[in-house]
Amino acid sequence: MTFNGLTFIFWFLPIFFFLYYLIKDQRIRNILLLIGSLFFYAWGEPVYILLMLIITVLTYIIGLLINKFDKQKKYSMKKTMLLLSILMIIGALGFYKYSDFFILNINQIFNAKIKLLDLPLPLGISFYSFQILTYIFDLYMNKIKVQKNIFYLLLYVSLFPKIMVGPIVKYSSIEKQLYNQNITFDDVVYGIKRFIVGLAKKVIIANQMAMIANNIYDNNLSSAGTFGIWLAAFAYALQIYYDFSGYSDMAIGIGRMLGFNFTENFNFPYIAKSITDFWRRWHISLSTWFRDYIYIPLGGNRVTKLKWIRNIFVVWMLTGFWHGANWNYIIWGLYFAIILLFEKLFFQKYLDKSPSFVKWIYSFILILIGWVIFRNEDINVMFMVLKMMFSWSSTNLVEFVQAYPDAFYYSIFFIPAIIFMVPTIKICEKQKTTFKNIIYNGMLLMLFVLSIMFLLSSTYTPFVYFKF
Amino acid sequence: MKKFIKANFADLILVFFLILILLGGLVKPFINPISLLASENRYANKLPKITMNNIMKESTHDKINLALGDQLPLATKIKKAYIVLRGNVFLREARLISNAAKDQYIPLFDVSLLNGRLVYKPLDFSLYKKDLDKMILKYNKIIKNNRNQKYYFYLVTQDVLVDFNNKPYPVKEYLLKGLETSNVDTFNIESFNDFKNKFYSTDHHWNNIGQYEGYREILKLLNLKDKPAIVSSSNCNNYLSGSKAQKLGGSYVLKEKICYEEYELPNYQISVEGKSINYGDAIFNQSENKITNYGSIYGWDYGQIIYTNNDSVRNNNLLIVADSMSNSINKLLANHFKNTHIIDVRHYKRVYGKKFEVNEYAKSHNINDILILGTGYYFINEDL
Repeated sequence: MTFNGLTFIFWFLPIFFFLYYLIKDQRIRNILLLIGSLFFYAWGEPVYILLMLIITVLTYIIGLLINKFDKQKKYSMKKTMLLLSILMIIGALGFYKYSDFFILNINQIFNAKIKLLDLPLPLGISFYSFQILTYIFDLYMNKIKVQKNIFYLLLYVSLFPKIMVGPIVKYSSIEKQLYNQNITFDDVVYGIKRFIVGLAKKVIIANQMAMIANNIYDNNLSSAGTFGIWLAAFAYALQIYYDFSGYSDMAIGIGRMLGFNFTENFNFPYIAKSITDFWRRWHISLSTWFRDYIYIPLGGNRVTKLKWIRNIFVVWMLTGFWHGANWNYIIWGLYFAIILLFEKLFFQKYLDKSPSFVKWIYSFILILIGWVIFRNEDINVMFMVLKMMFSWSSTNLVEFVQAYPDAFYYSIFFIPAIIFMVPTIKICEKQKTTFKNIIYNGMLLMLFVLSIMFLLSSTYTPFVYFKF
Repeated sequence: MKKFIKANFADLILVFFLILILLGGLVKPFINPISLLASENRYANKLPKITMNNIMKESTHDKINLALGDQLPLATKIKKAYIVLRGNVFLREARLISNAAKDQYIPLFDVSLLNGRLVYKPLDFSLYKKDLDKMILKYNKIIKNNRNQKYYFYLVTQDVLVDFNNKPYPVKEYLLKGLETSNVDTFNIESFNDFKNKFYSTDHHWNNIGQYEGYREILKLLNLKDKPAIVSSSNCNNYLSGSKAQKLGGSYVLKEKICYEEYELPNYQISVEGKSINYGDAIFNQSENKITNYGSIYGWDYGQIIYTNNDSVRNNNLLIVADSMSNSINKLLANHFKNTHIIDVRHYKRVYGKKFEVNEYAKSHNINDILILGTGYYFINEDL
């Protein structure tokens, strides 16, 4: 089930929340939350729900053992348990997500003919694996208490707002809320508003941006010209932002309605004035995860310059690889590693002295190039697109419309996409008087209806010649 | 409580309306679900029976989603509003480009604009020929197996078989070359202006001018020397919104003039799929602002229609195997025969539960002449 599905909005959401708010007993409410979460996950992943359950049970057992060995001061055993859990969690993730990538590369390098496994990727595995790891890592580092009740660990892992696409919520950040969700009217209203904004971002903007980007990238690029190629890159940048941040908004909103405060995941990344700034604003929960569990344990920047450079490369290569099992994702990660190093070592001081607009242009162009690398899994196509971006060829408007009609027609959606790329919504949210609030809420309500309109439009399938 | 309401008035309104919308969506699909979606010309999807066995199946989830898409409160109106809005905006964009790009096809959803007029883009003729070859083999086999009746072929060339920037596709020559009969003709489009003159703009059918020209050509093809039917009166209105317009958002986006002509014809006995009903009586009210379409004027498609002309001087019977193109000229052709049977193979199987066998039908209904009449698409329909 996805948040932007009619089944979720009109069935799951009202029934679940009606029961959730009806129940006053915290324990029963948690049981409902767990059942609801498992149902939500199983709706889209009826088979691999078992994998999630097994990983959680094993993590629970390992957690108990880590705690036991810590108390007994058997630190080598404690470390072994940590390694075992990493092996299990990363092993499962690696097996399902990266097997074919490794097989393909082995086949190419050694001219071998190992058959591809062609495994389906269990939904949300990249996200819930990293969330479970926060429990194990923090437990190992004695930052949290061991969870002795498997129910709460399972509730944390399976919590439906965040299981599919994050945010990657640390166990420590919602540990207390697992036991007691204090929900106020303000939480509910905030959650509703956040959900509506997220839904609109996804269905009104991201889906239309996808039409533009796909229409250009998935067809012969020869008619696009330099303008068309940049248009596609821009559309894809907006698509991925509105898609992902929209989903995060919905997750955070639903989380708040349930009494949970999830980590913010985006903070208007496209107004960033450097790449360092961009990564403070983009997929914050993932960046934080890599910082806390990879970069800092490797020594962070409190090591020799060479090791620091190594740390940066390791973190960004892994960041790239986490996003997908393909070389372009690794290149994408390394691309940002190089830019970040360049900024930190030489360029930041010049950047600081530059006008804001120059800083923004510099960042945005580099971000767009990054998304071109990210979007094109075929390395040859990726380089071809990059070459086209920087070698001028004119675009004939008529030929462009003929080759990419969707890109032309849906370009009208760039208007809201650009308007809400900057913190417009925050300005609107600041309205305080009752009248302004009514206007703002009315607009939100309209936005919700408009989102439903876009969702319903996908089911408009007329049969022109059908006779009743 | 009063204080709370006062402090949160705006938010309470938001929550209230949201609950109203969600509850409506939750309850409506179960209470009196709609069966027919007039605006989409199809049956509405209804909620499937949910059991423990199918609740987790993807197919059930898809069915639920589709059902919600049709059964939610105001779903039809909301969808229509979206399509109309999109159609209007995109049509405006397309017209801007089309006006600037003379003689160039500007794609717009499944149709195109050519010099501001809705057209279908021409098919790839080499691919079309492959499909036609298969059917020509089939036609020849049918002709070979039946020496008692005469076969005639009349293909209505539409925009899909004409590249207005090049020569029209040589469809007639191709049919004549392949078919083992010389009783072949096509309704030709000589130029873009000719097309504009003979076809509707918002619909894929031929207009009253095209229909009459086609009718006269068919008379020649059938070697009938009779005088063609004469127009007795003509009615026009401006509310036609046809199949091409439907793809853009229907009548709210595009409308055009349609003229319906009355002819001096005998009173027929008409049987539609075994029932005696009026067929092709134009629902045509000039005084009302009613949207109309080809089907409502000339009649919808049916598996079988039989015209009996008791005033006929000839005792011959005609079988027309056709698509909707014939709807507008059925009654004109029926004027020249005792019995005129019109079969649309696309609906025949649905109605009679068996595939239509043309020779078998001709034999059992004392048919003298068999006319295959239709668009380029109908000629490659494998149900024929």
